[in-house]
Amino acid sequence: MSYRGLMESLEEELKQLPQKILRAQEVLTDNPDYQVAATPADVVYTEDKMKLLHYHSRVDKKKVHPTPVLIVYALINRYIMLDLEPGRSFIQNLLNEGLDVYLIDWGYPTGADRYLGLDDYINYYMDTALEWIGSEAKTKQINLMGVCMGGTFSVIYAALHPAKIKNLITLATPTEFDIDDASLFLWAKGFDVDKAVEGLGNLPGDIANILYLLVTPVATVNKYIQFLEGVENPKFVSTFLRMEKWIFDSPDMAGEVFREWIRDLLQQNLLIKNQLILDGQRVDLGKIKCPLLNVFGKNDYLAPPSTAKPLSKAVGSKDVTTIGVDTGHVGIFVGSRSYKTISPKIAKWIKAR
Amino acid sequence: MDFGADLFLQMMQRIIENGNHYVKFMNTVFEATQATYTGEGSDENLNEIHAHMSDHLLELYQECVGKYLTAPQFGIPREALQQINIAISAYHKFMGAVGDFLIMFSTPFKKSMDILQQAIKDRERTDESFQTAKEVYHFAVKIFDKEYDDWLKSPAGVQSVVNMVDNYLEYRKKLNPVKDIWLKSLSIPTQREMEDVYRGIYDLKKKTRKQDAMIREQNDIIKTLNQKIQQFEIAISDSSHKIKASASISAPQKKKTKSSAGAKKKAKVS
Repeated sequence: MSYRGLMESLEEELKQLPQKILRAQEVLTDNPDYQVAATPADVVYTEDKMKLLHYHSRVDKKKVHPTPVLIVYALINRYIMLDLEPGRSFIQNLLNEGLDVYLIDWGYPTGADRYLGLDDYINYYMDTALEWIGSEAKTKQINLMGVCMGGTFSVIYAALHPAKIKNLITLATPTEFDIDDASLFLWAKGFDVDKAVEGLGNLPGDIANILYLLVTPVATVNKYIQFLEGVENPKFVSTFLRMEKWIFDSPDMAGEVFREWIRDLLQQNLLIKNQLILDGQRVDLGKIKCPLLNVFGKNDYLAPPSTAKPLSKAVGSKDVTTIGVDTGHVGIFVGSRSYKTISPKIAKWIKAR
Repeated sequence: MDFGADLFLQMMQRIIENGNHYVKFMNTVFEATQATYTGEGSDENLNEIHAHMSDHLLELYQECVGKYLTAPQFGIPREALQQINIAISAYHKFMGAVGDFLIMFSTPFKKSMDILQQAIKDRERTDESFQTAKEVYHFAVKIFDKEYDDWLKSPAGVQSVVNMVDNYLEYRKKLNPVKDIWLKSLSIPTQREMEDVYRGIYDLKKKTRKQDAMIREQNDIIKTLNQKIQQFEIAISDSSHKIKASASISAPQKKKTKSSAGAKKKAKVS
C-alpha cells in the first residue's frame, strides 16, 4: 500500500479513537465483574500478618492425594494471580487434579514488620505452616511448591529442612542472580540498599511497581491501547481488569528482608554458591535430595531461563525434572494454553512420587 | 571614603559572574537547538551537548541557589532550617536526575523511529508493504520494545536508572529529619522512634519464640520421662503383686502352724 493509503488508514483509526474511548468508559462504569481469588478456602492458621489458607477440595474426599501441597508465593504482589478467575485458575486446576492445596498469604506488611528477615519468613513462618499442615494431615513430609521469590524461599527451606519435604516444585524461580539478561537484576547490582532501607524503612509497593513497569515501558503503554481494541469483548475486559488489579495490588516489603534479598542474593549471589547463611546455618543446595520439578517460562523477562535453570544442576537430588514453557513470567499460571497443560503435568509428577 | 561605589561595584561583579553562568548555559541550549534544526544531531554530538548543558546548569544552580542552601543558619531554628535546606537541595538534585533520565530515555525512541522509517521504505519496494496503519503500529511496537529492552540493559541505561534511584533515595534520606522535626513539634512519635519500638517488639518476639521452642522441647523430654516413670511404676507394681501372691500362698501354712502352736499351748495350760 502506498504512503497515501497508510495515511488514510491512520486517519480512519484516529477518527474511531474517540468512539472507542467513550465505549471503554461505558463498559468500565457498567459494573464489570473482576472479582479475584474466588476459590473457596478457609484460613486455618494465623500468625502476625501471615495466614495459612486451606482450599476446599473439588473432588471426592477419597480421591484426594494424601500428601498435601503448600504453595509459597512471593512477597511481591499477591497470590491472587494463581486464582485469577473461574476457568483461568491455577489453584482450581490443581484442586481438580485431586491435590490437597494449602497456601501462605503473606498479607500487607506494615512498619511493625520492618525487621523481619529471611530467617523469620523461612525458618519461622514457613516452618510453622509446614508443622501445622503436617500435624493436621498426620504426615511428616509435604510437597512444597514455590512461585518466583516464594520459590527461592522454598529452595532455601528445603536445603535447611530436607527431612520435611517430600517433593519440591519451583515455578519461575530465580536462584542464579549473576546474569546479564534481566534488567531488574542489572539495576539491583547498582542499588545502595542500606541507603534505601534507611530512607524508606519498608520498600513501598508503589516504588517496586514503578520499577517493574519501567522494565517494559512499551508493553505498559501498549496494553492500554489494546484494551481499547478489545473493549467489546466482555471476557477480555474481565481478564484485563483482574490482571490490573493484581499488578497494582503491591504490598510493601519488610525492610530487612528487602536488604537481605538485594544484598545477599541479587548482589552477592550467595545462594547458588552455597554461601548463604541463615541463623548461623549455611544453605547448601546439595542437601536437597528430594525430587525437584523446576518449571520456567522461556520468554520470562523477570526470571529468565538463565536464572531459573541452574537450580536443576545445583541440587543434590537425582530425580530432577526441568520444564521450559513457551510463555512469560505469569503465563505459566494465566496463559490461555499453558495453564491448562502445566497443572496436569505438575499433578501427575507429584502423584508419581 | 566612598563605600557606596565599592559596594555597588562588588554587587555588579557578582551579578555579572552569575550572568556569565547563565549565558554559558543558554549557549548550550542554542547549540542543541541548532544541531536539531540543521540535522547535525548525531548521537555522539547530542550526548556531548547534553553533557555540557548539564554541567553549565549545575554550575548556574550551585552559584545562584545551591550555595545558599548549604550556608550555615543562625538562631533558635538553626537546626531545622539547615535540615530543610539540605532536603530542598536533595530534591533539586533528584529532579535534575529525573530530567537527565528522561533525556537519556528518549535515545531508543529516536533509534526506533529511524529503524521504522527505513523498514517502511524497504517494504514499499516489495510485496510485503504495510496495508493498514494498524500493521505499522504493531510492527513499531516490536521495534520499540526491542530497542528499549536493549537500552535498559545496556551500561548507559543501567547507569541512568541507578543514578535516578540513588538521587531519590538520597532525597528521602534527607527528608526524614525534616519530617522528624515537624512530628516532634506536634508531639507525634517520629519514624526513628517508632523503629526503636518495633525493634524492641521484634527482639522480644524472637526471644519468646525461642523460649517457646525450648519449652516445647522440655515438654517432650518430660513426656518421655513420665512415660518411662509410668512404665517403671507398672513394672514395680507387677513385681510387688507377684511377691504378695507368693507371700499369700505361704501365709495359710504359717497360720496353721500358729493355730496348732496355740492349741498346744492351751493344752499345756489346761
